[in-house]
Amino acid sequence: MRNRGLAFKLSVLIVTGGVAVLGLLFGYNYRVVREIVVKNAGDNARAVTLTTVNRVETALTSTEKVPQNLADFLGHSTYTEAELLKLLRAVVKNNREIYGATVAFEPHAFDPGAVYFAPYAHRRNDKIEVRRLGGDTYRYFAADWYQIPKETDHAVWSEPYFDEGGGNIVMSTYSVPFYGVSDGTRRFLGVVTADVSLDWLASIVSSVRLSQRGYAFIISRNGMLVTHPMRSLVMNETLFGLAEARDDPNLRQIGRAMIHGDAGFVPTACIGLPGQCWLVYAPVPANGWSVGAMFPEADLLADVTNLNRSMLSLAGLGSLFLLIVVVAVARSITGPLTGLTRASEALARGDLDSSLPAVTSGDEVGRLAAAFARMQRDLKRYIEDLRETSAARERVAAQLEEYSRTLEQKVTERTHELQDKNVALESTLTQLKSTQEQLIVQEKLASLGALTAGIAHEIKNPLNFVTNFAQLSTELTQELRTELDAHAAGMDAKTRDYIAELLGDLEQNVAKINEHGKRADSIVRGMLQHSRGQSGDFQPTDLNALLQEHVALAYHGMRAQDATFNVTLEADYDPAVGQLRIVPQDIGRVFLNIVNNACYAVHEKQRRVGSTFTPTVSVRSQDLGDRVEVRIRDNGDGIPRAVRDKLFNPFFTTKPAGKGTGLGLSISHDIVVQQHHGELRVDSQAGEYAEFVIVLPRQLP
Amino acid sequence: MLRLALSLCLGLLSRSVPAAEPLALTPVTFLPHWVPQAQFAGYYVACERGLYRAQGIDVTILTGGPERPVSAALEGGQADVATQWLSTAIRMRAGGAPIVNAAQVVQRSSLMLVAKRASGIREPADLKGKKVGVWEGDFFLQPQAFFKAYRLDVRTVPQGSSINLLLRDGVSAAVAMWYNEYHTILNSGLDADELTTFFFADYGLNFPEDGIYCRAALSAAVCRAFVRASLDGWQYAFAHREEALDILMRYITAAHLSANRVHQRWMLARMHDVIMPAPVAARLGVLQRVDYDRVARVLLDSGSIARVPDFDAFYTGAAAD
Repeated sequence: MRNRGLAFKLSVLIVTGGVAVLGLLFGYNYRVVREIVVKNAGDNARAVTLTTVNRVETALTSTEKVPQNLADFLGHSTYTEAELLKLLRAVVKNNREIYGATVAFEPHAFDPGAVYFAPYAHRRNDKIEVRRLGGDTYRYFAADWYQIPKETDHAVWSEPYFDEGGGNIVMSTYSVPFYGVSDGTRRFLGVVTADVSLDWLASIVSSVRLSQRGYAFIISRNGMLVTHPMRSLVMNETLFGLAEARDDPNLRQIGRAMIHGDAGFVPTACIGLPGQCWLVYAPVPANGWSVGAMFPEADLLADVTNLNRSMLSLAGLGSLFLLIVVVAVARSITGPLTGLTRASEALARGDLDSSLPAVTSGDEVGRLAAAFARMQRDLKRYIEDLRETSAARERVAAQLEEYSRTLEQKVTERTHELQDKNVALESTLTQLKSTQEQLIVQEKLASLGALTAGIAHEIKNPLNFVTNFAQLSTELTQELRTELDAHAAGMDAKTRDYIAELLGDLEQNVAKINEHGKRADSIVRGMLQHSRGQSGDFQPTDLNALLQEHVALAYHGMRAQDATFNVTLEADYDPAVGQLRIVPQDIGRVFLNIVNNACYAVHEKQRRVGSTFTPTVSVRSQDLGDRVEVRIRDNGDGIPRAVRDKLFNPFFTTKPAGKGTGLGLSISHDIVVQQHHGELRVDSQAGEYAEFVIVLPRQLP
Repeated sequence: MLRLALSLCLGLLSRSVPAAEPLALTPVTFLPHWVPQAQFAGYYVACERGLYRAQGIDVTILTGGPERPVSAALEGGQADVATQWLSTAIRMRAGGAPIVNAAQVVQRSSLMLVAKRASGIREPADLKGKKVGVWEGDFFLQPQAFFKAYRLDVRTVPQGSSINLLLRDGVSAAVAMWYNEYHTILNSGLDADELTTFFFADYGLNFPEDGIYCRAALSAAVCRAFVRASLDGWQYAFAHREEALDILMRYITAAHLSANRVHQRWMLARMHDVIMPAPVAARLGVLQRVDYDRVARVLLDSGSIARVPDFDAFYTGAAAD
């Protein structure tokens, strides 16, 4: 039930409720009708019973009169046997209800000579016969009909009995004691009896019609069934015996109430019929017997049962109709609900586009369906938003992940960079400090340069005179020679040769003066240019000549500074080098610096080592096709590796203070690499040699 | 008003008996000392179940009753075997009747006094001065001894076979047989708790009642055969009470007596109680010397007999241990 559908529950509950209400109504109706019917039947049965009682009572009491009168007569009269017999005959003859009558005397009471005296008049074949009762085989003194009235002093109806001699009819005897008075005392003389056949009793009772199967019956004072439709019970069973046989204490109680003279209306198990019965009972005062009227409840309720049957059919049809209606209503409610449930389940599975049942009604179900549709729409929108948001979030998350993954690396890199920068900065700071010092030196040098320029300019003019006049002198010599030749005939040969020899020497000297004047001019010009700090223009230059010139300049510079300086210069110039388009002043400076350093190195070594050392500087040029290589080598102490790295740094020098600016190689490097796009590299073996290699491209890029 | 009837179980009720009998059966006529009722169920059952034939005897059961006294039947030769009260039999034997006790079937006396409690009777002394319904003859031995023992001056009223004198208050107390009248009283609407009962057996007056008596002239073997079959019949009846009642009811109906099964059921149950009372159940059919002596003494004291017959001559049944 718990897991059944709403329609099922609704149907079951409503139909159960309906059936329960119908059942209650039905039950109430049945109960009330039953009570009414039973009451009516009871009233009817009571009336019938009382009628029967009255009829029996009337019959009995009318019968009683006869023996009573007879007993009264016998007690107060004297009579002969013949008169007695006549009386008895008359009694039987005149009273149709009396089957037989006796006057039974006490022993010797009538006939002093006879123990038994009891003439008995009775009907036999429509005649009245008289016989005498009593004898050894029938001692009537111990018979109930005699003894009970005698011992109780009361007239009494006997218990019913079979009269075996009279055709097996059930009889009861009414016995009236009669008394005589002798010697002043009342003396029991005997009894007058009237035997009554109980056939009429049976016919009275059997004429009673109560219900379809109801019947009346009579029990004796001992509860013996005197009349009953079941003949086997009659004169054979008491109600108490029946109660014992059926183990029915209720019936025993009813029986006791009946024999005690009570009247009542009680339910009991039927006697001789199946099922439950109702029993009305009332006493017959005359003999203490009891008339009962028993009718099966089923008989009473037959009509009620029929009514119930049709009511049940109607109720069944009604319930069926109710069921159909309720199921239809429930379906109309639960159909859309089931659809909504399916839709919800689809929704729960994620199918947001599941179709909803079409409900157009405006009732709760309709509103539910509409609300559901709204919910579906909203949910769909919400889920889309959610999807987008989550996608964005995933992207961010991926980025964050990537970022976090690379962050460390980047930090490490940056840290390295920072450390490098830091190192560089520290180095720069050191350099700056050094530079600061060098700038001071340079400033000093600049002032020296200016001085040098002034001097050079002043020297230039006299030098021009030297060279110019040397040139003139050469021409004059030429003219002299010509003259001499013209006058050669006139002079002896020896004089002429001497004069020619002199003339030749003069010519050579003048030429040398001119050459060296020019050279001096060149040096001065270089000094001016260098001091001016200006770069010249690229121009085709004979590299070998330039090299030779600056090697000599350097050598002479060293010699000029130190007279003891001596070096072996080895030169090997490749003629294939030829012209190169360079800035000659700058390249010259490069050569000068390098050779200067080489000379310094070997000179220092020589001073240290002594005469055993032959200072040597070798200069070599070589054509490499599109490039030209110049190698300048010394056999000095070489350059330590640590120094080698800083070699081209500005203001780096190993010379004692004042001996070098530290700018030479730095400027040289700038000139070769930056200005001429060539190479400047160094090769050295500490303690053995140092070789600078200058490579210059023939064509500038 | 009982009609005499001769009841041949073979002829009247021959249901379970095989038709063919290979051996010649000794005919035996049996007379129960009262009308057909459960008091004699064992014999009717033995007859119906063929137990007598199995013992080689062909028993004809006569219908007993007041009109057919046992003494006359045995002496006159109408009956070979009969039942009788021990007291009656001793008296008969003392009177010279040639009968022997072949088995003492009923061990305990069923005779009792019944009074309505409403009459104020609770104990024997309450009977003093009251009318008491009694039966005459040997039925009077125990009441008489009882009244004597309790020194009760009662007015005895000879009562008939019905109990109505007591029921109608013609007497204050009445003798009754436990298996018969007492039940009739109960089934006349009086409850047991409305009654005061005095069982004579409880007052030192246990007179064993029904015994089986054979004519002295009857072959001892036949007599023993009858006893064996009869005791078997009793045991079968007690073991199959409804079947026994079925058999019994047929005999009662045939005798035109009131066939009340409930009453007979009660009687059969009580017969079981008195034939096999709990303490002596193992001695079915045995006559105890002490019982014999007790009954004989009362008979002697009441003047019913002049001398006590010799027990050993009187009793030919199985010896008591």
